Amino acid sequence: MRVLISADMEGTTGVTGWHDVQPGQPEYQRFRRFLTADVNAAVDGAFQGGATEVVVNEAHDGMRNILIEDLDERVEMISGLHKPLVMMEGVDACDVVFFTGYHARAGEPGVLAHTLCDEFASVELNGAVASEARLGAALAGEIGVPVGLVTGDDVICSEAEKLSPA
Amino acid sequence: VKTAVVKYAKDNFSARCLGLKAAGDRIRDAARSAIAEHDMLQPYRIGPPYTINVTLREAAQAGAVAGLPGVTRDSPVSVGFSGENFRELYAMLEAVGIIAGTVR
Repeated sequence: MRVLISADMEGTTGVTGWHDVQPGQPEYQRFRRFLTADVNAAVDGAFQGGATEVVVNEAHDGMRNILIEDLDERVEMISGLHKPLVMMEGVDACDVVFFTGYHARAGEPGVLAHTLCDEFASVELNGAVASEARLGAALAGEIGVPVGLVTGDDVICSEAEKLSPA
Repeated sequence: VKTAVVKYAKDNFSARCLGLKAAGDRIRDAARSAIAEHDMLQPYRIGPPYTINVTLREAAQAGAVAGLPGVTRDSPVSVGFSGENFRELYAMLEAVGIIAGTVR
């Protein structure tokens, strides 16, 4: 069982402001540790559940956020830009994908809600307003890969539960 | 899909947050269950075909991306594009965001 973790940052434990997730801001360095801790918990759980391989794909901003020196040594990490599938790079070489540190879509009352970039007021997929999680799930779904886990605030987790039954 | 809530939003810039250990325990437990019960998981399939519509913040941004192949301008601030291959549309969505971000 090969697991890909798409690791965003706004849904990380403790994050509530843009300065927490923006490179160059003082708080960012502290929350990189929290981001790495959340990812490590997902990695550990995946291996406990029977995963044989876990790859972590950085999925926030410039995609160079996780502290690799603190990352679980059983995993490999896809870091940096540009990469063809961006937040979903690696999804074509896994059996299950996890979304960690995800957030609500633009216009929702979730923490740091947005959809992909500041320029997008909203994104619709086949007529329904979509979050980054839904867009990623659709890409994974086309390839035949299910979403196994979503972590973040209660708003994105509530939406994720509607993507498929637990 | 399993979920692990690590904070409860009060609004866009405030939340009631779990501590790191409690959040980690939730994430670890949910991740373990997701893999242990992976036979229950189903891919999220909604197409093909696929249509993506994007509402931008500014009309000028919509104007800039409306010139891309296959992208139609649906209103002063919105564009759309369709296709059978979602991987291509996902890449186009990324390109639309990058180009729109250059319009100032």
